[in-house]
Amino acid sequence: MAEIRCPNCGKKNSDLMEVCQFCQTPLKPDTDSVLRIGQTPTKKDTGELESVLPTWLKNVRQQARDSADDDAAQTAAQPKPEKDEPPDFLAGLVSQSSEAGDEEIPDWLASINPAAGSKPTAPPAGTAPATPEPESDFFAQFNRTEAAPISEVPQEAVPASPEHTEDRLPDSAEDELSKWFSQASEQPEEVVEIDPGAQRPGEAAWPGGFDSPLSSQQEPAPRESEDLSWLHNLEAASKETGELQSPKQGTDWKPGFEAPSASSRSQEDLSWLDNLGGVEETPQQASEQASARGEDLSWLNNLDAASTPQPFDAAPDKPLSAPPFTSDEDLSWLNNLGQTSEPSQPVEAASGIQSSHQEDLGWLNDLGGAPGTQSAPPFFESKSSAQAAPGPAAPFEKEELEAPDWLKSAMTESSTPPADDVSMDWFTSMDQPSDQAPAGGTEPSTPQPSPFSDVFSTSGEPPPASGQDVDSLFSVEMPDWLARSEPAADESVSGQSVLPPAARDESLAPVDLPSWVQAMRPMEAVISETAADTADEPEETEGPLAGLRGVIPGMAIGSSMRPKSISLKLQATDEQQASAALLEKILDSETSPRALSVPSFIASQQVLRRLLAGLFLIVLGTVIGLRSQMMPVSADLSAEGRAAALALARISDGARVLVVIDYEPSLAGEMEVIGGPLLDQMTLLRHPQLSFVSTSPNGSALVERLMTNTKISELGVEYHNLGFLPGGSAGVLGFVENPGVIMPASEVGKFSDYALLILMTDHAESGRVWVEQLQAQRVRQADPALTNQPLLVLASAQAGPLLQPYLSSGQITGMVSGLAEASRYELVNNSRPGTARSYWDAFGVGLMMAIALIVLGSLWSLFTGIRARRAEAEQG
Amino acid sequence: MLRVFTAALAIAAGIFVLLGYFYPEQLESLRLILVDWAIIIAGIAILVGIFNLAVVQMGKFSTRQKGGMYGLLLVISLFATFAAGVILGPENLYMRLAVDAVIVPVEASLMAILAVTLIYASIRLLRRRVDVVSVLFLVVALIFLFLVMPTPIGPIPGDRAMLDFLGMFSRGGARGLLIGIALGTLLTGLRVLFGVDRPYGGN
Repeated sequence: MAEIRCPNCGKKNSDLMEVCQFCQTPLKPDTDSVLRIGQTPTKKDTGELESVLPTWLKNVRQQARDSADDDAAQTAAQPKPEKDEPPDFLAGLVSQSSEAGDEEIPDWLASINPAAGSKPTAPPAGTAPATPEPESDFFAQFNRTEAAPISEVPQEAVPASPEHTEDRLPDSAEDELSKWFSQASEQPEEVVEIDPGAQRPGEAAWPGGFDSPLSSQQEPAPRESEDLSWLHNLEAASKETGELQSPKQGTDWKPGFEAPSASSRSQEDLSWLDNLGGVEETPQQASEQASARGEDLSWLNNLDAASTPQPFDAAPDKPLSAPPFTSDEDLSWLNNLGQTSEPSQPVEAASGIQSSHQEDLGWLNDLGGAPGTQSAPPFFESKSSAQAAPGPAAPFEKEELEAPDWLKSAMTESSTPPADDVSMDWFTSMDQPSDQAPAGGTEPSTPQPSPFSDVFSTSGEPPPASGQDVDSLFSVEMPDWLARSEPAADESVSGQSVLPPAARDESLAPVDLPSWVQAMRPMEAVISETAADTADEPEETEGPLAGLRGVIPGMAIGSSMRPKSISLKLQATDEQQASAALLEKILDSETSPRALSVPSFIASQQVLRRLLAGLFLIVLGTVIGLRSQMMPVSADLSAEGRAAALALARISDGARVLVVIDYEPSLAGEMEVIGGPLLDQMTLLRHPQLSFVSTSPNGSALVERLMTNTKISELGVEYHNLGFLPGGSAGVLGFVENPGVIMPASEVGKFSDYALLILMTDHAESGRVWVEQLQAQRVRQADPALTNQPLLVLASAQAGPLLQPYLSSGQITGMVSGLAEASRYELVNNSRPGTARSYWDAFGVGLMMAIALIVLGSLWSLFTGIRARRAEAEQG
Repeated sequence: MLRVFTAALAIAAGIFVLLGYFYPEQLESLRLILVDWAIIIAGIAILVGIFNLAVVQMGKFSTRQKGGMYGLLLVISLFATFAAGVILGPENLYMRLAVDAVIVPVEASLMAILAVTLIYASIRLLRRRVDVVSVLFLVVALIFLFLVMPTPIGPIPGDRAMLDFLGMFSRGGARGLLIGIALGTLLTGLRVLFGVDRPYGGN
């Protein structure tokens, strides 16, 4: 049985099994899912993967589905807003809060509006879309939206708040505020689909700040009651003061923003708190929410003026929290609403980018000391101011009375010194140079507002101390390095010179850095130079770097600083230099001319040639001059010689014979010797009419020499020199086909009128041409007489072998080739003319000398060559 | 356009001449006319060549190049000989003297130098290159020279048989050369007929 190895554990399993018996891993890969190159991926439903998702993710997904369903249902049931109603900017908040709040409506709310309690999840579709007052409608929305976040926080810290509100509600049943509360609870909640992923920290969509916390599924029902509690407190406070008789028309929407914004702000406060320190302690959030409630409303002023950028959220996944601060001036209307006359102080930005301001640090001094001696932080102060206005401040009072534990701990165990410590000793304790401004707070000469401070505070207000805010917001367990680093940031904000990085590094406790970090550190010299030069650098006066030195290199424009001159000298060792010198010598020797040694080889060649030439001249001249005839000549003709003689005997007397002169003057001597005996014999026997034609321009000039040297002219033979026949083969063809037209002097009508054709040539090409043209005519049988026309060839010794094939094929009747055959033929011809015989002895002696010289010379050359190669081999 | 015209003309002439052999009754007269024109053109081409030779040599003389004097001598000789031949005729004594005393001895002397050079090369052959081919070539050459060489004692016995035997190789080689020449000539003619080669300047 085949076995399959598990890809996960590596153990062997039977091939029949689909999953591993050890680790339950599928053994057989899904080939369908394997995607190969060129294939189009198949679209699959990602819902199939839901089973493998972790539990927490499944819960989140389920909640998202439920909220989506709720939103869809609410949207469908949501009535259209009337035209008379002011635009509801925060309508989305209602739906968002309603999805969390609809599930669990607290009892106190239910007692207010029994209809709302009976419909925890679905919106009251049956209820007609009422036309409440704008304020009540708006508050009703936030009642539902904030029921979820608020209910969570007060459950632990302020559990009695819902009850308290409930107690108050019957008392002010006739109040308009109560009325719209009840009406608002009857209205269906708006469903707004929120995409937490689409929320970005930096976006300027301020409603998103409201939406994000509401869309958080992590904070459902518990916060809902909390939101309503403070609202009810606010209502109670307003009732006490009696100011809240009718909502302001001009700011109708503001009240609407107030409550939900505050409630949402509380959630947002908590969220950005979470983003700061990653702390999600609900008691701290609740206390912070309650304490910052008064100041939270101040941001609304900024919303009215311009869209403010959202603070950077260190945890984008978490709901984005709006900046929980307001200016004193902006809170005035809120004070009027909530019957508070004291403006709330801004709440420090929780992002950690804060500027130290002496005025705001006062409350920090109280944090380090006894709770009683501590001055209330700004948000606490606002809370107290809020309490002066019974209506809106009522929730704050309740929160203040029941401060959450986390806030108490922060107040008591703050790592920062008390806020009333004007001398800011806690800053000095961080080993920073004590060049701080008094705590009384002078305005910084070079204010350096942080990006977030611009959002959270007006230009007139100094930014709060960063360290104090961090301490107040974070848990007690704040690392020392963070606490110590804040004084350094505070000093820069206060307008003092920025410490160089080296100086700043001194504030940090020395830590044993790992080796690889130490290796990455820059050289100390560079650091020291950089640190030393920073003091001379100009101080930035504007922008976020105001007050800092050495941040931007202060190189003047057109600086006279020149780059360092780099030496072009190549750093080479002695060995390298020696090698370079040697290479240079070699290159010089290549280009420098060398004396050309004249070898003796060339001189010996010239001597040998001259010697050979002289030898031959002397010997052969002597032999010729002596007219020796010691070399016997054989009378045995060759077969082609005998055929030629026979062809001569067959012609008639006085027949026309065409003699073609196709040799060069250089071989005239040989050709005249070769042709002499045959022509003499023919002339003596048949007295033909000779016609000479030549395909070479020099041939026509050689006719006379031939006739003279062969002594044929002495025989009284009649000959005609037809001259030069141009055209090569075409000329031969034309002459053969129509000689009378091509050569009118030929005096023949057709070529067959010639009884014999004698071709005298020293090269085979001429012989081939004549043979081929004649054969073509013979084949064509244009002239049958051509078939019997003999062709005799008188060829030199070098052309004879190449014409042998034509002789063997019968295209050539007879041939006399070379001096040897010519001497034999001359001997047969009674030694006439006798020229061949005179050359015979010299020819023999010359051949003997040539053979001897070749043999001896070759042997000598062989010997010398071997010796030279041996010498070269020894040298090489 | 000229290229096409010349190519067409040359191809047409070649085709007519070729077809004239196969259809003598219809095209023989045209073939003969075309052949006559070719002979005339060839003759004129020689004169053009001689004229070009004179112009080049005169140009060398006029530009005072190296060998310009020889060019002048050549041109003078050319025109003098031409004039003498036209005037006196080729059978005149002086014309024959020019041929017998100048042309033939000069070319004969060059042929004699060739003989000495061949002997010298044969002597130096084994010094430059020693291999089977060179030795075989040298041996065969010596054998032929020996067989052909006349001796005081008369012909060498068996020289004819030996020559016939060795001639067999030469004849075979010669046939091969002739066949190759014939095939090459045929292919060249076909290339001209098909317009592949344009020796008349069509390329």
